[in-house]
Amino acid sequence: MLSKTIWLVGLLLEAAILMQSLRSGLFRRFPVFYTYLFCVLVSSAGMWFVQKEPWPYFLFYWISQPVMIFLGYGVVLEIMHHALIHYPGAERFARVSGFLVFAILFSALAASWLLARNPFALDPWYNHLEVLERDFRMVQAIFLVLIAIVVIYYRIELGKNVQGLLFGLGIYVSVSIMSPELRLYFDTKFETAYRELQSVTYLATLCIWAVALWSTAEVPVPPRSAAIEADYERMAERIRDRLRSARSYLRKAVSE
Amino acid sequence: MIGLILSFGIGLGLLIFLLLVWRRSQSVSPEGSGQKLIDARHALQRLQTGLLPAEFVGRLFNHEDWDYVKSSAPTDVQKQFLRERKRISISWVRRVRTEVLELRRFHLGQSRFQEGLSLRTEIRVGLSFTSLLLSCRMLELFLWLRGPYAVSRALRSTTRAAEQVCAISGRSLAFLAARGFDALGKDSQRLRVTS
Repeated sequence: MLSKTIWLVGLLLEAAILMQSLRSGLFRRFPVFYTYLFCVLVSSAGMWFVQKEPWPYFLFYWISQPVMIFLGYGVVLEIMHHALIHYPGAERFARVSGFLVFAILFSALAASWLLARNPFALDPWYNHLEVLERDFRMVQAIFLVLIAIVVIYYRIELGKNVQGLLFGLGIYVSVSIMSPELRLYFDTKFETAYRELQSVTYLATLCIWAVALWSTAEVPVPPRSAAIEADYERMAERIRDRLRSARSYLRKAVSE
Repeated sequence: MIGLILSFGIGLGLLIFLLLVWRRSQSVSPEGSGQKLIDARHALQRLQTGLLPAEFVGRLFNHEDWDYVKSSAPTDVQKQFLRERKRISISWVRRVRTEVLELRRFHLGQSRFQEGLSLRTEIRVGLSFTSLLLSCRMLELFLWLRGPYAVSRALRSTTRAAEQVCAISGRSLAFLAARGFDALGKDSQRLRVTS
């Protein structure tokens, strides 16, 4: 009963967010996110109608899941783009380190697959699609962590819209990673609790998105300095030299 | 078990970072670009003039004062003198650390706009800042544990380090201040010609 109520409320919230995006015009700013939400609404509504027929239900579910994961990656990139749009330096930092993380992760996965020692337990992927989904969510989570690190490190101000997107997706991805693992580890003992946890988290995510995306929010952009911009390499190099010298003296003082 | 640890590590890590982003967003001032300009200017001013002068540092760690107190004052006065010197020297290291933090803030505030930002340079500068800040912490711990007059060699080195930090930071800040102030207020083209 509870899960059906959550399901229905979720459908209503998704429809409300989509409708509101048409009024506020936010769908033009976050096209990937609203496409993602539209697909979630269509698949959830479809599953609602075929819920009593197991085979069409599971077919619906497993067709929609890869689409959602793929679009989920698009949403992550959209968040990164909007969070760092006014900060090309930070955006470059995130992009380059993102590619590095991506390369390392997939090299590690390929190597472990070739060696048949997959630390992410991908080997039984053909009969554990949930594990595969969790693995994709893990990579998504790592990218979200990377965005969060760049935002914290460079003291970037996020607007209400982007912040809501980041928090909503982050919380949902985080719980999506942890709950299947609990289910695998503790077997079916707490099956209902895990399922409800994920549903409640998704509802919370929708609430965050509804509040954050109800209206358009502008972010004040700090002014940039043209002269310092031109001399970035010089400035960075000189700061590094000064710090290196200072550090060596301090180290000598401490070690003696 | 490895899967469980990985999943929880990444999942909880993500939640912690989101919490940090949220906390940071609460502390960020909502003012517009004008306030940011003022903040940048104040940060540069503090960087330029905030570090303690070299003669003060030399005096703070000078043995002569301690020799004089040791030879002419009673024990409780000597103890009080040492306590006070220790407190002042720790405050000084903290001040240096604060200024380095300001310098880092300034650097990050500027580099986030750089289209030509290099990941390698950023990591190098970031590591330099981190190690200098750690060194300050270690020096603070050293002073707290053994006091400014505990070991004469270390004391000399500390004095030298203090002077060097002041001198080095002073030069560094002068360079930054000149660039920063001009950049904040004047025509960037003219600046490039004069530099």
